[in-house]
Amino acid sequence: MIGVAALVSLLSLLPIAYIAVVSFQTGWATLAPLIFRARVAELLTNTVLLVLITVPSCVVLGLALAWLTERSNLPGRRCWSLLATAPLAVPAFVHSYAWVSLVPPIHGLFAGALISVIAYFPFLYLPIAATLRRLDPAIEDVAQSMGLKPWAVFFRVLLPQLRLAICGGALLVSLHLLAEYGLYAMIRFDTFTTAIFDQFKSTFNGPAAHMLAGVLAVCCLALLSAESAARGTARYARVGSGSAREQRIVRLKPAATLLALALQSLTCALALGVPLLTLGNWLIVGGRQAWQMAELLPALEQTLLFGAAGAALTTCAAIPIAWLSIRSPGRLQRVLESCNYITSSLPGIVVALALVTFTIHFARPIYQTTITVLLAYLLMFLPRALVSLRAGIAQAPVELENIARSLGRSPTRALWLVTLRLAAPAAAAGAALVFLAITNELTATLLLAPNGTRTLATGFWAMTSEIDYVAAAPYAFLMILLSLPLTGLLYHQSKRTAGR
Amino acid sequence: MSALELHSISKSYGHHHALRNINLSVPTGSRTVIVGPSGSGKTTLLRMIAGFEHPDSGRLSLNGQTLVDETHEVPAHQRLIGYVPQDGALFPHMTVAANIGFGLATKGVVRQQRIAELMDSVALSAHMANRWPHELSGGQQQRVALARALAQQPRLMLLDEPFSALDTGLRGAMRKMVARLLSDEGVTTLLVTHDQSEALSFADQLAVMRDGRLVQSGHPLDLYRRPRDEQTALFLGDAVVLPARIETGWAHCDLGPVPLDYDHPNGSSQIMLRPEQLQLSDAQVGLNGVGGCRGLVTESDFSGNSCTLTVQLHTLANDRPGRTLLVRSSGMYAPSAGSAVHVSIIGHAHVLSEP
Repeated sequence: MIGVAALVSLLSLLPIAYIAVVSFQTGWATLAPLIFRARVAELLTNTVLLVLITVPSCVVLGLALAWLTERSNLPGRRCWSLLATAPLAVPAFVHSYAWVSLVPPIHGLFAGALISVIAYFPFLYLPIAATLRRLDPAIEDVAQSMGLKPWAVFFRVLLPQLRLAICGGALLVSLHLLAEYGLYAMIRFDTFTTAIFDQFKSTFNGPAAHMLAGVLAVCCLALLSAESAARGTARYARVGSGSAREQRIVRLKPAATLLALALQSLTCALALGVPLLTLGNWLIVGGRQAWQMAELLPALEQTLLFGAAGAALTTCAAIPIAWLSIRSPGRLQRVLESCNYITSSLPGIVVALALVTFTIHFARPIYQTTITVLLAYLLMFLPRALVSLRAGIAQAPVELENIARSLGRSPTRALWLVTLRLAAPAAAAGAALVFLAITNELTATLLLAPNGTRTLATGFWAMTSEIDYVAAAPYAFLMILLSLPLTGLLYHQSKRTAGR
Repeated sequence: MSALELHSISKSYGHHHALRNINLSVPTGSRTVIVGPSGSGKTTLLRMIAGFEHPDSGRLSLNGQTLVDETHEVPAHQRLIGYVPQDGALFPHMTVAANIGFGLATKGVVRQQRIAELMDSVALSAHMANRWPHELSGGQQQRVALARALAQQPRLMLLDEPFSALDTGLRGAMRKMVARLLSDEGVTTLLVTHDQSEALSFADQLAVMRDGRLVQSGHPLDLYRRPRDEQTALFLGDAVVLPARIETGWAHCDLGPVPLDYDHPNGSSQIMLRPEQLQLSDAQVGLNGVGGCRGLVTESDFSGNSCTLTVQLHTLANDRPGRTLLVRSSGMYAPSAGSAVHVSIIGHAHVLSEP
C-alpha cells in the first residue's frame, strides 16, 4: 500500500519537478530577462487585478445569497438555493461564449471579472450556505443577550465563524481564475494562462512558455500558503452535547424582501438566463443542420471514454493514499497527501506543459497518446476522488475489519467484504466528480490529446475559434447536460454535510 | 484446567509501557473479568488475545495451542476467538441475519436454522432478522453482536466493556442474560470493564489492572474483602483505611480494638474496613457493646434510602481532634449534625500488606 501511495505521490510531483529542472537548466542569465520584462509585468497586473476584483465580489455575492436562502424568510428559498448552485453546470468558457454572442464587443478586465463572478460565485455560495446551516444558533442567541445589535451579531459572531468557508471558497475561485483559459481567450483578455497557451502555440516547447508557467505556478503556491495562513489554527466546534436547535429565521421587511428578490433574480438572470437564452437562440438559429452528428457523436463518445477511463484510473490511484491516511495517519502520509493537493492546484496548462516536456524527453512512446491525457487528468483531479474516498473509508472503522477477522475472514477478505463495500458509494461519488471535471476540461486536453481526437470541449473550442457560434451550440448544450448531475451532486453533498 | 494462559506478556508504545509482564490463567468455562481504570492497558490486553495487537514479548496459549510466542503467531482469523467490542460494531451494510451469519460457513436451510437459533438464544424475536443495525436499540445491537460472535462456536469469548454503552436500567438485565447464556453454552469468557460493581457481579475470577500491571487476581469476594493495597481497596469500593497497631490477632486503632481476619505479625500497619462494617447507634445505647468508639456527627447528608454521615471520632488518648470518617447509615437512622453516636464494627479488619 505504502509503495503504491508513494508512487502516485511521486508522479504528482512531476509538474513541480519540471519547473525546478527547467529553471535550473535554463540558468539565471537566460531566465532573468524572460521573467523581468514588460510583458510579464503586464500579465501579472492583469491577473492580480482580476483576482482582486473577482474574489471579493464573489465573497460578497455568495455571502448575501447564502444568508438570504439560509437565514431569512425570503419566499422560495429552496428554489433560490438550487438556482444559486446551477451556474456550475455551465462550463466557464460557455459563459464567456454566451456573453460574446450577446454583446460582441465585450472584452477586457471588467468583462473578465463580470463573467468570472457569474461563473464562479457558487464556489463561495455552497460552503457558506452549508456552514450557516450547521452553526449553533445558541451562540448568536448568547451574543444578542449580551446586548449586541443584529448587525453587530452578524459581523462579530457570524462572520468569524464563516472564515473557513470563505477562505476555502476564495482559494478555489482564485485558483480557477489563474487556471482558466477558454473564458479569457474568448473575450481577448490576457492572463498568464492565455499567454502561455499562445506562447506554446507559436514557439512550442520554448523557454518563454516554461518561464511563464513557472511564474504562474509560484503565484498558485503563494495563494495556497496565503489561504493556509488566513485559515489559522482556530477550530469552530460546537461545545457541549445534544443536537443543535433549528436555525433562527430572520423576518425581512417588505422593502428588504423586494430588494432581496431583485438581487436573486438579477444573479439568476445573468448567471443562468444569459447562457440559456443565447444558447437557445443559437440552437434555434442553427436548427437541425447544426447537429452535425458525424462530428458530434464521436466527440461525445470520446468525452465519455476519457471521462470513464480517467475517473476509474484516478479513483483506483486514490485508494492506497486514502486508506493509509485513515488507517495509519502519520507524517509521511500527510506529506504524500499534500503533494497531490499542491499539484492539483496548479493550472491545467502547467501540468500539461510538464507532461509534454517529460514525455518528449523520457517517454517518447506515450507522447501525444491517450495515456498522457489520462495522466494529466490523474494529476489534476486526484483530490476530488481522494476527499470522497477518505470520507467513505473513515465511515468504515477499523474495528469492523477486526471483527471480520475474528469471525474467520483473512485480512484481504475482510478489507473487501467490509471496508471497500462500505466505501463504495463514496468512491462512486468521487469518481462521478472526476468524470464530470474531465468532460469540461479544455486546456490540458487541447495540449495533450492525440492528433484528431476531439472531445466536446475541444470541439466546442474549435468551432468558436472559427466564430461558428451556431455549430458550437450543440457541443455546449451537451456539456451542460452532462454537467447537470455534477451540480445536483454538489448541492446534495452540501446539504448532507449540514446533516440533513 | 486452564483454557487461556498468558506468560509474561509485555508491550510498549514508544516510552509508554502499556503492558508489563502480565501473567494470568483463565480456567475453562469460567467468567474472568479484568477490571481497571481507563488507560490501565486492559483493552490492549484483550485486543492482543484477539490477535489485533502484537506483544513485544511473552507467550499466549489457548487450550494448549500456542497463539503467540517469540517465533510465531496465529493470525486473528485462525484463532476462533469471539470478540464483542463496546459499541457492538455491527456491519452497517448488512441486516441482522447477515451480521449473525457472517462467521458461519454453512449455506441454505442449515444456515437459516442456525441464525434463528442464535437469535432465539439472545432473546431477539425472529421478525428482527431483516432489520438494519441502525434500526435497533443499543441493547438489541449488543445482542446481535453477541450472537454474531457465538455463531462460530468460539473457544474463547472476549467482551470489551460490552454493557457500558447501555442505559443503567438495561445494563443489569443484559449482564445477567449474557452471564447465563455464556454459562449455558459453556464458553470461556474474558470481560474487561472499568466498572467495579459490574466486575464484581459478573466474575468467577477477578483480575485488577493498574498502569499496565496485573496487581491482584482471585475470587471477587476475596479481592473485595482482602485487597493487597489501598489503591485496589478503593478501586473496588469505598474503604476506610486507618493506621493501627497489630497485637496477637487484634488491631488497635482509633475505633478501638478490632479482630483481624488473618493472623499477622505484631507491629504497626494499615488496616482496611468497608463502610458497611461500621454501624452507628445512639451513644447511650451503644455504651455497653464490645469495642467501638464514641463520635460526634459533624455533617449529615440525607438522601432517602441512605444517609451519609461525617463522624468525628472521640479520642481518649490525647487532646488533639479526632479522625473523621464517612459512615453510611440506612435512611431509617439519620441523626442530625451535633448528635453523639456510637460507632461499632461488624466482622474483621483486613491488614493491607503494602502501603
